[in-house]
Amino acid sequence: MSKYDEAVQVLQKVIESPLSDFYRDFYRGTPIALGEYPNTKQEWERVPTLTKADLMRVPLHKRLFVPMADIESIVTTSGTTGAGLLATPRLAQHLPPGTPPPVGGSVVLSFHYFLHITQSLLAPGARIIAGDRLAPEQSATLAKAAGADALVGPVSVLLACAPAFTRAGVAGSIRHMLLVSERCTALQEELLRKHYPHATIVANYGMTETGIIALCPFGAPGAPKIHHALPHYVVELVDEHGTAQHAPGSVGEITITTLGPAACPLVRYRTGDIGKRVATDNGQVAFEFVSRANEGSVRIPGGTIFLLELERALRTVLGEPADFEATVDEVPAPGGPKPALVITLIGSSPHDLGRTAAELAGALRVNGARTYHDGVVAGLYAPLFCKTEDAHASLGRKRRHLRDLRV
Amino acid sequence: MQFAWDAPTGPHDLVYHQGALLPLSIDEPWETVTKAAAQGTVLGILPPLPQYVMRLLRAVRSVGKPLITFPPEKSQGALALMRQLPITALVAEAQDMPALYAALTERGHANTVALHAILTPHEAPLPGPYVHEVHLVPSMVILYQCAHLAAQNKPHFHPSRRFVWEVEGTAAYLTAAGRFARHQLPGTYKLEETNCPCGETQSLLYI
Repeated sequence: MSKYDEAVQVLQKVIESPLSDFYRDFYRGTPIALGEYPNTKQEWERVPTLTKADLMRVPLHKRLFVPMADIESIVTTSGTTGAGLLATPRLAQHLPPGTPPPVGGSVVLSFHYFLHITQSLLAPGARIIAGDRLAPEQSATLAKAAGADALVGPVSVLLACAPAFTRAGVAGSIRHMLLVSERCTALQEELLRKHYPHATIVANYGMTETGIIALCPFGAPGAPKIHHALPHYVVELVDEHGTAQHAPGSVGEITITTLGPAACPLVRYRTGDIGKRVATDNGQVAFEFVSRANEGSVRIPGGTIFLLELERALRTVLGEPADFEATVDEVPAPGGPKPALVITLIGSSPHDLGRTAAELAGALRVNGARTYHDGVVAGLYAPLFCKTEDAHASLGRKRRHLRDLRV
Repeated sequence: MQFAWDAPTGPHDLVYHQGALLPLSIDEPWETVTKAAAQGTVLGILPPLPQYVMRLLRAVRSVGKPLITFPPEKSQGALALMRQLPITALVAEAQDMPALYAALTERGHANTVALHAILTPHEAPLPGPYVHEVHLVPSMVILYQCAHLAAQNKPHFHPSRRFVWEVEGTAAYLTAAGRFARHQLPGTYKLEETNCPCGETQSLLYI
């Protein structure tokens, strides 16, 4: 059975489910709602795509395709995209027999991640520890005590932990590394390889409402970052009309259909991310991440900055017309370079740009306070850097004109 | 705080707490949450420590309920979830509870949600409509309040029967068979015989 046949079966199952009207309502007025299912791959590609907004319009309990007792947990998206919180139900997952339990600590990481990671890290039986940016020494102590050989976390955190891991003599014992949440720059990758010389590095791709969709094993330094879809998803790259792009090098929105058990199966769900199709030998879908589809925001470590918010802050600080570019660039940081938001002001300004940066940093709060048992860390602020127009290499650039500057 | 820990023999994780490495059993029950989950749906607003998450998961799943937990900085989002799902109990650390109570009051949920506030040993209970429980380390309940004790608004708790309690003078010592022995709790206590409507016969009072 092909993956598309499996996807059609999922479609049929959700349409005919006695537990939820969600998809019957969503496809109302189309042949699908009447039970006319796609027979070919081309017909499948005409199935309407689903968005986060479509899911958010319907309360959680009306999107459940399993009894509530089967739901292991309910998670929500972070809300950083500005679309509001989407509640997502998840089914129970079980650790494979013999899997060592995860190592704890004051670690900001959900239990589900541990499960996903254990199942998909390509290293069954690995003893996993999550790095903790605020407690690197404790992370290293835990890793040593537990005999950890796998490390998981955002790349900036794993780099921040590296000195402590080296001092504790455990950095060389790390054989597997899973990067989550943040993009890894070339320089960061180089530092990871230096600090953890024996680690095989894998980055994940996924989101709260979908789980991990693809894995990206790092090849040789500088090699393209190719994400390989996991087998329990159909991954398509679609254009604005929902038509899948098949040619290698074609670009489209990453769109997924869940094939495995799911509390709310997703059928042709647009992730909001843009990918570029990569040819593979085995016919499996692989892609390179390009950018977010939403041009109104810049994703940075720790959250998302909205250009409108930047505009507001710049109006407050500068009080005069200016254009700016918000980019994500590598900047110096303890433990190694990390991606950070860089504001590039374009045009003349009587203001001292360093002072402007400091004022902006105070105005742009990214995350709320984080509470740990050892104390409370007040809000995390976007690391901001102001530059002049020349000399900036961007990883993802969003340019915006300031509007209504008299406000 | 010094512990003389014996590693549990079953599945466990390691927790770094106040300068010590503690092996905690994954099977450690969280009976107050299990009881609340049996009667409705529990929302956890807790620091995302694995020991909290794992034991909350076990507690709610043991009665067929889903895990719903958010870190305190996302509590507004968590409370927004109440529009989609009826929540009957909320468990949070005491330091976060007043703000949560205010938010619940604003949303008209203050009288429909039982509020379970987590204290550290000898931390004073909060004034207000809270049911308190004292954790030795996160998720390990050593003292708790039944509805009757909670209504008194006093630092009065039932000692968990999962531990051996010894009170000598005003010092309280805690023993967990096979794990740690005679761990002295900070602060001073008075052990009282009681005839609580909940059926418990002992209560511990902060003095």
